[in-house]
Amino acid sequence: MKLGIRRRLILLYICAAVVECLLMFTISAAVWASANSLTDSYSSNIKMEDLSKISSQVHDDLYAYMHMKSYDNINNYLRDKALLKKMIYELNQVPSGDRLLLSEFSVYKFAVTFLSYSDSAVFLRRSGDNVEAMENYHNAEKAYTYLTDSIFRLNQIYLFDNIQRFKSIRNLAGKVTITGILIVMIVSLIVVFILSVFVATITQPLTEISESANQLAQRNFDIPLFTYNKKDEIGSICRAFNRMIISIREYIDTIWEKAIRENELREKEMKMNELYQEAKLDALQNQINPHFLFNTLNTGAQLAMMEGSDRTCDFLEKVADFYRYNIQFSGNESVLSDELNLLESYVYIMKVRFGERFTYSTEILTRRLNVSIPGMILQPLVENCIKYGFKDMPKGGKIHLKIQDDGKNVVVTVSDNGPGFPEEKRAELLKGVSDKNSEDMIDLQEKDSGTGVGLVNVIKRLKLYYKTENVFDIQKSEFGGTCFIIKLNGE
Amino acid sequence: MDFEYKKKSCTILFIAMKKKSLIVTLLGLIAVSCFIYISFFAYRIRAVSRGSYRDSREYKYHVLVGVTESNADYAKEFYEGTKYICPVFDAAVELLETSPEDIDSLLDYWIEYARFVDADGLILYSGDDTLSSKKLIGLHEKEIPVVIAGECSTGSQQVSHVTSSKYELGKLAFQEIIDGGWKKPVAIVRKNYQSDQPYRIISAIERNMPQQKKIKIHNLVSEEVIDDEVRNVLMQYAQNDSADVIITFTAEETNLIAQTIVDQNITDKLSVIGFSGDKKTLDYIKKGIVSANIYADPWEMGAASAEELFKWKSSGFSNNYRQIVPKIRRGTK
Repeated sequence: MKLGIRRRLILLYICAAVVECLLMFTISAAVWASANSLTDSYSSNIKMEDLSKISSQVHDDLYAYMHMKSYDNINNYLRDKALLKKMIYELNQVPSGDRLLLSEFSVYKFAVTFLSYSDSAVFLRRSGDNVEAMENYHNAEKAYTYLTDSIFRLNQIYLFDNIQRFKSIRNLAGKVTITGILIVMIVSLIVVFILSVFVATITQPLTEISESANQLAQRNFDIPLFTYNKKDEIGSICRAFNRMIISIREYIDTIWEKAIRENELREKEMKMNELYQEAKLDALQNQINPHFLFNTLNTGAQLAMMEGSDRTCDFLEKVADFYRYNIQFSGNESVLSDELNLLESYVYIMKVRFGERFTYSTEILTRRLNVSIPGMILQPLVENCIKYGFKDMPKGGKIHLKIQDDGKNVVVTVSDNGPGFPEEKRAELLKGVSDKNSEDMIDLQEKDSGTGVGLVNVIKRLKLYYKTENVFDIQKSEFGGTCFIIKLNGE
Repeated sequence: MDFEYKKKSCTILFIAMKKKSLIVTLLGLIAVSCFIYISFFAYRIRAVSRGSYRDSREYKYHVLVGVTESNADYAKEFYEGTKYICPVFDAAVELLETSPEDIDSLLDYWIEYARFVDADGLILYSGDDTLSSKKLIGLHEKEIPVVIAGECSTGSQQVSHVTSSKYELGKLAFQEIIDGGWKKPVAIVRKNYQSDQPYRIISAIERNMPQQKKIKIHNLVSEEVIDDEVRNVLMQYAQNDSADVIITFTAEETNLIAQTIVDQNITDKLSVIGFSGDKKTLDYIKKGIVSANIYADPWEMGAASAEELFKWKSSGFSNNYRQIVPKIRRGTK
């Protein structure tokens, strides 16, 4: 289980505090031991002083009793003797290799001897044997002399020993103090360093996050992702930050793609607009000229009528109708019957122009003449027949328009008896219209100018209008020429 | 703060972070070492305060050693000899005080001391042949064995007497005189010398000499060895060419005569053969002023005394008279 930053910091602080406390405790214990030892140094001398005093008291009590048998004296003697016994039993009671302990042993032995003679003297004095009592008393006196001498010597040894010990402890205490200060400083530095390392470890990712945030603020999104994967608060922040960076990058990529697409569209739109403007201009120009032309043609027709030239009048009216229709429906939706009317006008005009050079026949086998059709579709086909089919025929040209219903579509067939449509060109035309884009189409149209005016345009418009590829076909006609087949979907 | 310095510090900290576990372990070890160091100090203080550094070995017997020899080095060696051997017999050794100076009072003091402390034995070293011990009965009628090393009176009551034979000492001295080619030996003896030991040694030397080669004995007039007198005596012998080697009987006399010979610049005329000796004597031996130093090894005497004491304690019998083979230290002139 991972600890949170707060807990880790608290734990770190507690650890540091515990280390410092332990160190202080250890040093304090050492200093306390030094102080205690210094205090205890001379306790042995105090003990010897007490021993000397109590020995002296026992000696005095013995003297008093030997000179005057009294209850108080014997009581004092017994009391002090008990005290002396208690004290000497605290001394070393076996011979030792150590000089001090051996001296303690000697004191103990002299004290025992002194008490032995004293007890004998007291006992004999109490029993009335004064001579023996005095002999023991004298021995006790001698023993006492040796006892005091040995206590004095032991005291001296203790004193010398204590002085040495005092010096040693003082030196050690001095060393402890200096070493303690040094160690406290060293350990404190160590603790501070370890704390710094740990805190830096904890806060390092925060610094990195801060730097990354600044980079992001300066719109630099190419920063490396965080590798900090611990399950703590910083880990969560890092992961969230990583997700945020990834999201921003994805969002930027999306925006870029969109911008590129929009740019492309905008460019297309601009191009279209340009074309549109050009077309509009052309249209306007076309609109202006035809109006003038219509008026002129109508004026011409009226003039012809007033002059009694009916044929010229009809001709001019047909020409005017043709162009009116042409302007009205060029690029717009029309119906098959209107197209047929236009075609009648056109054929009339062409007949006036070419005379008996060709014949035109229609065969309408359906009543579905109200099917929708893009305007100006049939006229280019007939025009193509006249212009290219009968190019090398001075007369005898034949154009047959057939409209029939195959149950599903209204099939319009325009046939001629010309030389026919070359197969290579046919395939190229049909394939080219299907595959190539608009720019290539223009090329094809230009290239195809020897094949038929506006044929490409017709095919393209039909396909766009009916949204199918099978709307137009070119075959060999029953008259040996070209047969254009248009399948109009009546639905 | 300087930016570069800050950057450097950060780099160090960063490296430390990378090597975190290693550094933490290292620093932890330092901290633990500090604790151990402080604890060691605390332990040392406790040890010093309790005196735990002492030899606290306990023994069964308590033996007293008293030395009357004025030669401190000699006395110390003797005590060391007893101290070395006594623990073998499970005994602690206590060196007795040397006051009062009066030999009889001192002996009484020691005997009483041994009696009242209820000691298990008393070993005495004496250079005084008038020393006379008596049978020592302690508390509860327990006999305390006394061993005397060195010199003592013939009437002294001890369980064993450890010493070097004067004959052997004299024999060694004679051999030195012969080997040194000296023909005019003079023995200097203080007037108030408390024992007849010098005369016995002289006698032992003479016993080995041909009749015509007697040792001339010069008794110093003063009771103490006084520089002026010694100087005068030596100058006289040197000027008259009536002596070529001086025989002395104590370390103090040997050292004084050797120093006087050096001071008077008569080292080419007089040499010294001394009995007993101390550290100072060793210096004169090294310098070749003292050509020979004949002595009974005090350490060996102390050890032998302790052995005899515990032989008596264990079996009730000991060697009444135990001889220590004398040794000789020679100088190179």
